Amino acid sequence: MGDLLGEGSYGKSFFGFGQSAEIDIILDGAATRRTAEVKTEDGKKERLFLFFDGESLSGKVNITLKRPGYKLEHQGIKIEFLGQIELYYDRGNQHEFTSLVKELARPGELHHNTSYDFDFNQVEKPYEVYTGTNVKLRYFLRVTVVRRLTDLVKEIDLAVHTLSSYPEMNSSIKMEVGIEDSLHIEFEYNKSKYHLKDVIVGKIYFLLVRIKIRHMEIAIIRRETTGSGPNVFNENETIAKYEIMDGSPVRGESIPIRVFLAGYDLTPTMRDINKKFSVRYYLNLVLVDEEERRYFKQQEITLWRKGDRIRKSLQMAPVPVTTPTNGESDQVQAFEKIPTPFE
Amino acid sequence: MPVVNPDGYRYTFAADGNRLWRKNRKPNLDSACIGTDMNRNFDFHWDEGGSSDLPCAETYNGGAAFSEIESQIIRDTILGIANQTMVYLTVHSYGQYWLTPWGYTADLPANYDQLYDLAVRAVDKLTAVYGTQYTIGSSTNVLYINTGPSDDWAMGGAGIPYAYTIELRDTGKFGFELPAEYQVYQVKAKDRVSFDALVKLYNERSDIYDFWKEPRNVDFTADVMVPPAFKKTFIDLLEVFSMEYHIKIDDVQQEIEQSRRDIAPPLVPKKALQRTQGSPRYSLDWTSYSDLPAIYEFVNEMAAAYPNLVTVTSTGQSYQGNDMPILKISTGGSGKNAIFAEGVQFFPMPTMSKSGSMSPLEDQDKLLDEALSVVKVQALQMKRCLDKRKLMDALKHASTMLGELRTSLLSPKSYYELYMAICDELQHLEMYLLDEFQNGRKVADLYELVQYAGNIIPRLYLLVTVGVVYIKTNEQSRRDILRDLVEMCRGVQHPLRGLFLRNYLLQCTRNLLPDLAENDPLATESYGNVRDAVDFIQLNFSEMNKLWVRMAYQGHSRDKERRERERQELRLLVGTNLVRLAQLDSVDVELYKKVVLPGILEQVVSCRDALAQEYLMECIIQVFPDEVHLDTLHTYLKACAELHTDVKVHVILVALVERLAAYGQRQQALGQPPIPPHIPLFDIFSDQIGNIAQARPEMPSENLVSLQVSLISLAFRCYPEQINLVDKVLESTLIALDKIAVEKVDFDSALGKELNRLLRMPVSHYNSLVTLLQLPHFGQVLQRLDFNGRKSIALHLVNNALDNETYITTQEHVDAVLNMLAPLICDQPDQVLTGQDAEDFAEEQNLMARMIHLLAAEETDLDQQYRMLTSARKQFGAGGARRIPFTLPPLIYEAFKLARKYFHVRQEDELWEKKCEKIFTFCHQCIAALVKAELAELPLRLFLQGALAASQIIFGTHETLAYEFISQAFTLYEEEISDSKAQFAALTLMAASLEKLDCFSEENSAPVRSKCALLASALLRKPDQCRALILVSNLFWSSTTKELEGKPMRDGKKVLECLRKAGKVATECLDPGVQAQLIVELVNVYVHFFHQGNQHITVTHINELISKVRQDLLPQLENSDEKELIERHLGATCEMLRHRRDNPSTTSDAPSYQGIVLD
Repeated sequence: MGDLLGEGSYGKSFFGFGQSAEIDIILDGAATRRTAEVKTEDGKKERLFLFFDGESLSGKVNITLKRPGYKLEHQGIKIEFLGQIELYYDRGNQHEFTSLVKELARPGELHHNTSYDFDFNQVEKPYEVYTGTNVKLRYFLRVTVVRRLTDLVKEIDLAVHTLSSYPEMNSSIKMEVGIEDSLHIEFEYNKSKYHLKDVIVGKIYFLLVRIKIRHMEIAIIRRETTGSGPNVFNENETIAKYEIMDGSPVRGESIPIRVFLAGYDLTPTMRDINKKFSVRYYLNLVLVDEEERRYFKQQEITLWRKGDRIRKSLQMAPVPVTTPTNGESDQVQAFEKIPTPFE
Repeated sequence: MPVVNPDGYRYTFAADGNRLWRKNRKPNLDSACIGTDMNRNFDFHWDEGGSSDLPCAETYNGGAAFSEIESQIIRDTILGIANQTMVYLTVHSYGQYWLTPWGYTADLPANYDQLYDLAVRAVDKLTAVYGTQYTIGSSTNVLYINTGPSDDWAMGGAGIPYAYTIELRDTGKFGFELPAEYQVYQVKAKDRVSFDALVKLYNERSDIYDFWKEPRNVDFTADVMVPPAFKKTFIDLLEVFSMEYHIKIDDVQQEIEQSRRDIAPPLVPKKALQRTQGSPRYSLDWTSYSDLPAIYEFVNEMAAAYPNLVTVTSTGQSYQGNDMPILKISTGGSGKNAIFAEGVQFFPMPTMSKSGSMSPLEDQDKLLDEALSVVKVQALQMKRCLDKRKLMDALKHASTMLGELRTSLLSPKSYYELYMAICDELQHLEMYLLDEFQNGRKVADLYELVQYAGNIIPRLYLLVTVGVVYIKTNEQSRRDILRDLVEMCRGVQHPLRGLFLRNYLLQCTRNLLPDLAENDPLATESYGNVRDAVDFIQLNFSEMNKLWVRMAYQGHSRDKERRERERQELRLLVGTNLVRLAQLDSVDVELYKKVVLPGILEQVVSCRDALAQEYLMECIIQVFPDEVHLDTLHTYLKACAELHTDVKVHVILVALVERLAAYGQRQQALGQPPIPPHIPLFDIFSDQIGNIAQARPEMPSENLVSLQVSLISLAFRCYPEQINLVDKVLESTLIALDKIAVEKVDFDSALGKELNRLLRMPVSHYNSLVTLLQLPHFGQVLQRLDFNGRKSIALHLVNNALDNETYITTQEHVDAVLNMLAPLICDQPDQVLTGQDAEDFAEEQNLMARMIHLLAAEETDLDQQYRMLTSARKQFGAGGARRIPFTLPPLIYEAFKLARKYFHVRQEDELWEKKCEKIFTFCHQCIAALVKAELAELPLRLFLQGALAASQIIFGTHETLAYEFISQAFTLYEEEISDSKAQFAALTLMAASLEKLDCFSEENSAPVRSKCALLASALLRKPDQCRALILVSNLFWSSTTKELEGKPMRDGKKVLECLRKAGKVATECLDPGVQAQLIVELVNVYVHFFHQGNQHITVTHINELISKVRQDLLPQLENSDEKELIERHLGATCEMLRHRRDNPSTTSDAPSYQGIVLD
């Protein structure tokens, strides 16, 4: 639990005098509250207490004096609940989208260890915590003992997950793509919106094969977009590479796709979070031919977080989801092609 | 440099050596201890700690830097190439470390970051290939202070930027020698309490008890190594908790010793001992240490195998005189950066070729070995992880191992070997998982878990393995899992990899398919029923077949032949699907008919690949039972008609027919009808073969005929009664031949051979020419063959008839049979006259002659026989001058025989005389034909024979006929026979025949006799004349005439006349020898007639002749064999005469020999 509580920051008194105190924030129900792993900036993971939108936060703030018998003067003690977006290229500017303050004590003196209750009722937590390449969205509680020179501050980070309900519209993604006279495929993913523990089920139907395909893979790509206007930064990250076919098929072959999402490090799709950033996910279907040329087609999928349920049964073969449309489909899209392999 | 301490290394293998010897073998001054630690002998911060000044120490520094010859050699070698050397590697055992300098200080070298980075990359590669983890760091920090090691010097002294010490595997279970009598116990806890005690021991006393296999659960065994001092305590403990135990290894030290002795033979010869460039004949076994000579031999082998790559130079000799070679591995060119590596046994890491195509054959062994060694290592790691119950890690290793199957470099054969090795290992995984499941431990969502494997090949192998475990533990998921597995395997579209993957699927599920009838109560929705099993196999089958077919179209067309061969090797993989289908007990005829067969056939037909179709169609025939074939013939045969044009459909059909025919025969043997009556097997086949012929106009006609052959065989074996079926086959053959519009089929062509086979079949089957005549189309088909073909069949027919004594009994048959045999009987328009061997010809004709004796009508139906003979005569008559001498005589004799038969039954047949007359006329004509063929002796004999025959059969005109025959003979003699020898022979015959003839009246007889005498004296040579006269003299004595009614003529006077004439002729011979001989013969004849009672001959005649020989002739003769012969002849004659003279006969009319002068 120690790491969850964080280390107390010690007010340093000038000239070696003065009182210092340790601040602890104890959340109600800490023993039973669920935790969630959240990535830190350095790529490590830490476990934080998990909250959802609208949940209340309540607990206690304990202030333990370091030198019993000496008083601690302060200009007031407050606790804040903050939601913050931090863009790494703009470290100084943190954008707070949520900020709630509760005063715990008026300015005065503390003579002995003191404990304050606090309660944020039904707090709105509109976004999910996120640590990306260029941006970080975090929630935390901060207790500040305001002093004349240096405040005593204690922060604890909280994890927040946004849950969605089953999307009403969840049509499959179906498309015919090709390169004129050499490759023509039709692919289908069973949905366009997947929850984080979902399974992508699909099929690829080869209508025309005149190139020698070596293998085919599906990549899950996360695109993090930050900034706006001319200063937009896109950061693509391949979360998973998943070989779905080995060797070269012939016309008429259909290849099953089944990708379990639960094992990958995914977040829900985030669109235009507080006008600061977006995180979107794409399925990238990549065909590699014998000359190492790569052909790919990206499709955005929406990821969402589902309230936990009982685990599903075994995932079995997809019922054939598609029959070839005999080339009657509205439009055949072109593959994108990278003539030389990228490494 | 493979070995830097050859002396020391050699010593580790010596009989009296120490396997763990570290130093070299140079004796030290003032000490009994031998050797210096080379790795403390280098001159860089030498002797600053971590080494010893005591010669007996393991780390003795040698007393001075570079005191040892070996280290000097290394120093000089390195200095020589230091300026182009980037990396220095020194390989040691053991500990799994990748160490950087420095050894003398804990401070890090200036370029430590670069050193570290490079090391990380190297270690990652090693881990990827072998799964081993190396610890990286500077020697001092990771291990201990040591000064004077080679890597410090290489970097600090020689200035090589990257220097490393690599400590090889393993981490050192037996790092040091153990004190005696360490024992390993295998312990099993029987209950929770004792298990907990064991776990406590494991957790808390691991300083004493070394658990080789940790305690897993109650009833699982654990292995513990126990130090001798704790043996008693340990056993007490076991007793207290009443655990099961036994000693697994009695003495660990001994075990280690043993394993050292078991070090693999140093050189592992490879199969091919022929050394070709680019491949050494063998490689070292990397799993054990090889001895020094083996290493050196291998070094040389490498150099020989890769002359452009590897050069070996000696750098010097060690203290004991062992060579210290160095290998330079380079593709040529100078100024490149080099890597200097040395060690106990160092060889460069194999690197995978990047090329995507299959490697040349000579690399196959190498590639396979590499792959297998990865498999071995990964499998070991996997099992270790399983033992430790680290399932995730085990799966990772399994996945790495399976990654080897992703290769494109191996030939199917090598790939198969690799596959087999991996399958073996996967079994362990399966067993483990089963074990876990059955012990109730839930391996949660394993089925999902394995699907996270990024590469499809390992993923699917694991999925299959786990799926099988699921099925085995949870019966109810069977159907869905099977369906899922077979569906998911679609992801592998690479032919070879896909085939093996699916084969793995098939092998794993072989006992797991839901083989239950559809109405079986156990066949629940989730368990599935036989339909699901069939669907599963069929889907797998068609996918495999597609992959197999696709193989044919991959790669360059010049490799086509090789590919076809490889495909042949792989066909079993595809065929196994059919075998599995056949093994499903719940497939009944109905299901087979409606689902199984149509499914297979659809795939087979649609794949349009000749090789696949041919194999699979035959496979169907062989794996499924006969009964179902009978029921599905139509379907099967229809599919046959749709096969690729290159498919040898006839082979398939022949196999099917063979199989069904054999089935029919078996049924028959069991007393059942061969083929169920409701299945018109023959008609089906015959129709379908017709269809196939129509559907495949390009099918070579010989194949079509071979189909007909199999049809005939079917008819014989299953419908032995229905001869018309055979004819039907012949008829359809004829139609087929009409279609291809070939006038005459060349005997030597494939078609000719097949036709020949076709025609011989009924011959050999029925063994009766006459039965063949019931096949109206037999002859017609026969006519399609060219001359040689027809002749060959004809000979076969004749031989067959002779062997089986097939008698031909009617004139119609004779005509028909002889028609078939025409090539033997007469010249054919298409006959090739190129020199046939006269002997062969005679042979053939003799056969024909023998054949004539098979023409035999019923005994009672002589007229029929006559008609047959005339028919035959007509046919044979056309044979020409070359043949009739063979064929007509037997015919004539048959006719004589017939005449005699008529004579026998003369009471029953009024017209017999007329008929005999006709027969003789017939014979006369025959003989005349021979005469016309410019033959003489033969017709002469036949005339004589005819005369004799006629004389024996007494009918109205027989004398006239006989006379006619005789006169013909005489005419022939006079006109045709000119050779003197032949004349004499003919005359002999004529005389003999005349003597036998008894039907002539005196009127006919006298002129003939005198003619004979005349002819005799007209002979050219005197001795012939003489002898002929002697013969003729008999005519006057013993022949008879009608008037004499069979009594001999006894015309003594005429006899004497003849003899006298003969005597006169004899005396005219100039040669006294010949004369003597003739006269001696004459004496005998005189004696003969004298004895017969010829009154005209007297003793005087005899005396005269004898004395003539004695007095005149013999003295003239020189002594010779001839003379002796004559004397003996004469002597014997005299002896006989003397006997007769001295023993006169008692009968009254016997002539008296008194007066014979014998001396």
